[in-house]
Amino acid sequence: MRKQRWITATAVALALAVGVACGDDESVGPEVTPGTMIVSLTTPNADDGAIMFTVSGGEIDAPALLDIEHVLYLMEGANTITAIIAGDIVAGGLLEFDVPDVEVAYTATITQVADRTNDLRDPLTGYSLTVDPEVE
Amino acid sequence: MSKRALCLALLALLAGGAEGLAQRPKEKDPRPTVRPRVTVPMTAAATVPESEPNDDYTTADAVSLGDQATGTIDPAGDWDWFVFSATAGQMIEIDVDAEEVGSDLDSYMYLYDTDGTTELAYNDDWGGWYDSHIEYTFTAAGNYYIALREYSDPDAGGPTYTYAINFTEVLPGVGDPVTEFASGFVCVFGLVAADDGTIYAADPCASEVREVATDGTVSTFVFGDWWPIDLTLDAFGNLIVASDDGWIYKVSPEADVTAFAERYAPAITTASDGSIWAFGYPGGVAAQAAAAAQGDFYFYQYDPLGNLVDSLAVSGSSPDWLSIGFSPAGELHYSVGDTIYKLVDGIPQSVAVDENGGMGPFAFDTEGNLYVVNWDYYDVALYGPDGTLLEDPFARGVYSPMDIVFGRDADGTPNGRVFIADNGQGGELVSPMEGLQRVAQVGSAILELNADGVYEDGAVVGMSMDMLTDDGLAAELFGVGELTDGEKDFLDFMGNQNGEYDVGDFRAFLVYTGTLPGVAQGVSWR
Repeated sequence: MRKQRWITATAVALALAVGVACGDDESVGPEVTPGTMIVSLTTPNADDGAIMFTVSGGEIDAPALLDIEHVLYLMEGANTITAIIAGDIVAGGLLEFDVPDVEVAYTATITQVADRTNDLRDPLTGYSLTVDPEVE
Repeated sequence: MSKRALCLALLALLAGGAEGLAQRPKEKDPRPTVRPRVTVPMTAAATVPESEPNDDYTTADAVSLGDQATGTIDPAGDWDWFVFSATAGQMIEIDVDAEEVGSDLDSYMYLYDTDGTTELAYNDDWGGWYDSHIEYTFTAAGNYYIALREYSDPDAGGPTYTYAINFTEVLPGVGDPVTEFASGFVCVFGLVAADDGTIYAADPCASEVREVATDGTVSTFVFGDWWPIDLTLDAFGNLIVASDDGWIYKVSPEADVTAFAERYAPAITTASDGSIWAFGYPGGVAAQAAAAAQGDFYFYQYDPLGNLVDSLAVSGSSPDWLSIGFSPAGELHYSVGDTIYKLVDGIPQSVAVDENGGMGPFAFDTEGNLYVVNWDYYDVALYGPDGTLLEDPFARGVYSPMDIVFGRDADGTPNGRVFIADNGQGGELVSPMEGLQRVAQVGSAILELNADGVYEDGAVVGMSMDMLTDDGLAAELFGVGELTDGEKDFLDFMGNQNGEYDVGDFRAFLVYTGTLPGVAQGVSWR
């Protein structure tokens, strides 16, 4: 039993050493660029009042509204968020979030849209969302 | 005169003046069977014929518990007195058999204290007959007095006005003893418990809705040119008041009164989707009597704004009074005559039956058990969700019950306290001057049942906006919420009314709560 513990400890130490060595080696693996992604809406209407959508693709950090007059409700999962944004919704940027790598592709899917009289849009013809890196 | 008839008479009086009570109805449905009563077996029972003169307490004939006194109200104007002994804590039933066994006597009976002059209780009719009945729990040992007269005293009496009076000790129900929680009403009809624990009580005789604090203190909440008879709460905390003037009113928490809908509706309640349901008649007050006579009655569903959404005819019977309420499962129940029904896909299904009639207002606990007041027998019975009779009586110590509700804690949670609107010992509403004053004298009150006997806490009734949060509503859209079907129906109803809860309904809620600026368009929340 005592011998087995020693072997285990040694293996762990070696693994850590290898891991640290690999992590310190910047020449290994693809280059990543952290940054901010923007979710933008294309809409055929000028009187949207609420939208629910899902974003996925990779790690999503610090999602935030682009218009402080809007209200945001979020459910965050592993590499995905579901968002409800309500207010006077117009075409353009709705939401931003930080990512560890702006090269990772993110997609957004609209679930529901309501107008400002609370009626549900159906069908969602002409609606789409794009997720692109923030342009400096 | 049955409780329902009394109520109708009062309401007719309130609506149409004293003519409504000028003629005392004599016709009534025979009740050939006798409701089983739990009594203590007595020994040495004897028949005690009256011995005239026994016309006052000083000449009363002595009887013992278990005895049956017999006699005749003869000549007209005769009063017969009896005296019996009771011990502290004893519940005693004094029951007259007269009309039920073919006598011409329409009895009227009083119970007096040991001094022979202080009135403790009285009764006119009981059990669907014109025969009197008093149940009383004595707090002190002593000799107590019973006085019996003809209802039409001193104008009626004679050799055919015979009677028997049975003096019996009875066992209390698990909901006994019943205690007085609040008093000071002229009369008290519908009750509703608000989500801060306050109980609101309809007092049509004072044209008021009373506010009863958690300590039983009674004050006027709102007074008006109306006769409130039943109450419910909408999802926004407004009182919805059914008035005998043929209108339903909305009363804000600030006591501002506005018209809700024009409808003669003796009973009203709130569904779990926030809609308001009323039992009523087509047409106004003037058409009510004819509609009732034809059995032409409906359930009306209103949205929270007072718009009529639907109506459902339930004909085939002729209810002169009816109570309604929703079960924890969301099914509309109503009591009429000898049965409590529930509506399943619009079809009445029998839930509980008392073959002797008198099924009155009811309240549900969380398990769906039904606490039912009986308008003819002046007691409370408990039925299981399948109609099984669980406790009969659940409580005896009520006199003229008009409504029954579960109380609520200060956070709105229904608790295990049960309150009954009661119109006093005997519950006489004989005339506007004599009758109503008399009721006040003997104590229209809100009574409280013994909470130790209550099986479960009360079921949540209707719905309240306070139950809803924006996070909870969003979670429902995310698929991880806990909204009930009724709450989702309500949100859709107050939103875009497309048959399902969606982001448009959520937006409407955000506007209503002020989270979003502006006012809701389309369907307004208030």
